Amino acid sequence: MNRLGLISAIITLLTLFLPFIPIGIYFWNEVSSTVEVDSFIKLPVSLVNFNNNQYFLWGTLNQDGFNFWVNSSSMPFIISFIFLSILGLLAIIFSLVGSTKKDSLGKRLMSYNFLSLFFIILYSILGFTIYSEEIFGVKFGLLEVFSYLDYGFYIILLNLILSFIAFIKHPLI
Amino acid sequence: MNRKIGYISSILAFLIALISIIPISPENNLKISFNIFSIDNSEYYIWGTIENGISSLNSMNMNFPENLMAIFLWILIIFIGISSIITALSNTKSNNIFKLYSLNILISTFLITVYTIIVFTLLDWNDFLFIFSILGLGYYLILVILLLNILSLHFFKKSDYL
Repeated sequence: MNRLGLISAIITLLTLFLPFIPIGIYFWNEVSSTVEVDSFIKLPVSLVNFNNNQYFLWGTLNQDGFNFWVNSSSMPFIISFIFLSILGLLAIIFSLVGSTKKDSLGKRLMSYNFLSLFFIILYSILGFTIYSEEIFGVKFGLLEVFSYLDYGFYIILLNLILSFIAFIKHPLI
Repeated sequence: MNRKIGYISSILAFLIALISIIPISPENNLKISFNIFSIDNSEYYIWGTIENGISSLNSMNMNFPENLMAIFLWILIIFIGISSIITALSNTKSNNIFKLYSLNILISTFLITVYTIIVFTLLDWNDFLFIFSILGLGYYLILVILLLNILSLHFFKKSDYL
């Protein structure tokens, strides 16, 4: 089994299905003296944080609530759904299935995982810049998106490196 | 034996990295707190600080690059957790197991050294025994992880794996 591939799948799972990673979890609120499961730190896994609006692989989150990329008829949102949510889901499937197969198909699936993550990274930089006016409401200049990148982007960037190592070291019988 | 030790040290590492308080009997103020050390009403964890039960200054939530040190320390303990599981798996190459044990020992020694220096700077040297009231369960658990990894490496070297 390709363990790095499995770790890569778990990391993509975290970024695709969670809004944050809970750190410092507690089961009892000492202030209100009630049973409560919460965490002191919420490490956001959003790709971009612009004016307190967070943009994830699955959609957007602001003070008013959350919205999935697919819940919009706007073209940039649909393209974001394809390049972020669908590719994210495919990356999980590719790495989960690929990590269990010790043959050329497994290696090919690991390469697809790498490519999926690569296109997510590419879209986060180029796509968000091209469609900035429709998605963020402000026209971004070239490379301006780099000032608003959040933890999620860097987690996926690390995951991309991990998936490349997983692809190189994939065991073949 | 090594496999069990690997699982135990990974569970301990994840507890320190992710959990703050587990209540046993809240009415009697009986709880397991995974803090590294505590002074007055402030509890210092590997991921940040709690003051009077409320999250206070947390360098992890700060902007780049202030958060780098906190994230680095947190990733180190997460790494111990993941690598301990990997060493416990049956099909891991013995050469890799040796490297991971060595890395775990190195990282936990580094963490212990960092927090010992921090505690020593906060310590009143006229009352040295005060150190035992400052240190929390988290500190001792990192020490336990270090000892478990040294023990595992010892057993591993004794066996015929290498």
